[in-house]
Amino acid sequence: MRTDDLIAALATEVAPVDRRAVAKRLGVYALAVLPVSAAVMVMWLHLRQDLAEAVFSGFFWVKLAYALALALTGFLMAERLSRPAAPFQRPAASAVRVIFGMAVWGAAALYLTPAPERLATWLGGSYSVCGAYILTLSLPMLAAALLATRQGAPTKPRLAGLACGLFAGGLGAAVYCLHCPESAAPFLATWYTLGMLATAALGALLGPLTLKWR
Amino acid sequence: MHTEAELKAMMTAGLAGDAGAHRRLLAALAGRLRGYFRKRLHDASEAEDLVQETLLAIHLKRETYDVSLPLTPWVYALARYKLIDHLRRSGARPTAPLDDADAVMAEDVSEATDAKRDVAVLLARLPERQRALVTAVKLEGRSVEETASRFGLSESGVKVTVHRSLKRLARFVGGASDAD
Repeated sequence: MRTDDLIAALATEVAPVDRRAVAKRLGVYALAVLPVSAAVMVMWLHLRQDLAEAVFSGFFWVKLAYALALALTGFLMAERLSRPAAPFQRPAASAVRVIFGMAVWGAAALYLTPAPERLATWLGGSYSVCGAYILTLSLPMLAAALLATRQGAPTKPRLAGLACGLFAGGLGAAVYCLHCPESAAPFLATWYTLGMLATAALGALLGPLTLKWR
Repeated sequence: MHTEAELKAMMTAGLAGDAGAHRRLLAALAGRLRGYFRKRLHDASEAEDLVQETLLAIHLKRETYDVSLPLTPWVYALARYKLIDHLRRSGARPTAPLDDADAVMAEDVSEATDAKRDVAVLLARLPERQRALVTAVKLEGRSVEETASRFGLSESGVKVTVHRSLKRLARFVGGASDAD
C-alpha cells in the first residue's frame, strides 16, 4: 500500500476524540473489579468485627487515606505513562512523599512508644500476613489496570507496569482496611507499605510482558 | 516544513473531528517520519513500512496525545517505539518472508545486510546522544572537530562519549543486557 493511500484511508473517518479517554478507561476498569476484591475479602478474611465502631476512630480513616493516596498517585502515574512522552515525575514524586511522610510518622510514633512495647506495636497481630493479603486483594485491580493501560500507548512498559501496581496496591490496601484491626502508625508505615510496594514490583515485572501494543 | 505550532494545531483540530486537518497532519508527519526511519534503517522499503506503521499508530492512539504538551515529542516517542519493536522482531527472525519476490535477489547481499542491521540493533540500545555521536564519528567517518562543533560539545567530550559508547556496545555484544 502506498503511504498516500494509507493517509487517505485513515482520514476518511475521523471521529472526535474524548480527551479524558485514557483516565476514564483506567478508572472504569479498576472500579469494575473492585467488588471482586471486596467479595474475596469478605468471604475469605471477613470484615473486622468492630467495623461499626472503628469508623468512628481516627486511625481507621488514616489507614484508608494512606491507601487511597497511594492509589491516586499510582493512577495519575499510570495515566501519564499510557501516553508517549508525557511527564510522569510529579505523581511519582508525590508517591515518594506520601510513603516518606508515613515512614517519618511511623518512626516518630515508635520512638514515643515505651521501649518494652515497641516490638509488639511494630509487629501488631498480623505483620506476617498483612503484605501478602494486600498483594492478593490487589490482583484483580492489577489485571484491570494493565489491561486498560495496554489500550493506551505505553512506551515505558516497566514504569507503566509499576504505576499500575501502585494504583492496584493502593486500592487493594483500601479494601484490606475493612478487615484489618491494626491501629498503629509504625504498623501501617511498614506492612501496608510493603504490601503496596510488592504489588508495584509485581506490576513492574509484568509490565514488559503485558504492555505490548501494535 | 511545518512548525510545531502548525502541526499541533492540525492535531488539535483532528482530535475535534476535523478530517481535513487530520489528513494534512498525517501527510506532514509522513515526510518527517520518512527522514527519521531512513536515517536509522538504510533500507528504504523497510523504512517506508515503519512510516506507515507509525502513521497508523498516530491515528489509532491519538487519544493518548495530551493537548497541553508539545506534539513532536509524542510523535517521535511513537516512532521510536515502532523502531525498537521492529528491530527486536527482525533480530529474532532475520530471514526475508518467503512470498517476497525480492528475497531471492537479496540472497547474495544478505550477510552485509545482516551486519548493517546488527549494528542498527545495537545502536538502538544506546541513549540518543551516544548513538548520534557514534554514528557521526564511527559510521559516517566525520572528524571529531566537526562532530564537536555540530553537537556543541568539546572535542574531549566527544572522544570520551564515543569511547564510553563503544565500551557499552562491546558489552552488548558480550551478551550483557542494558539496565533501564
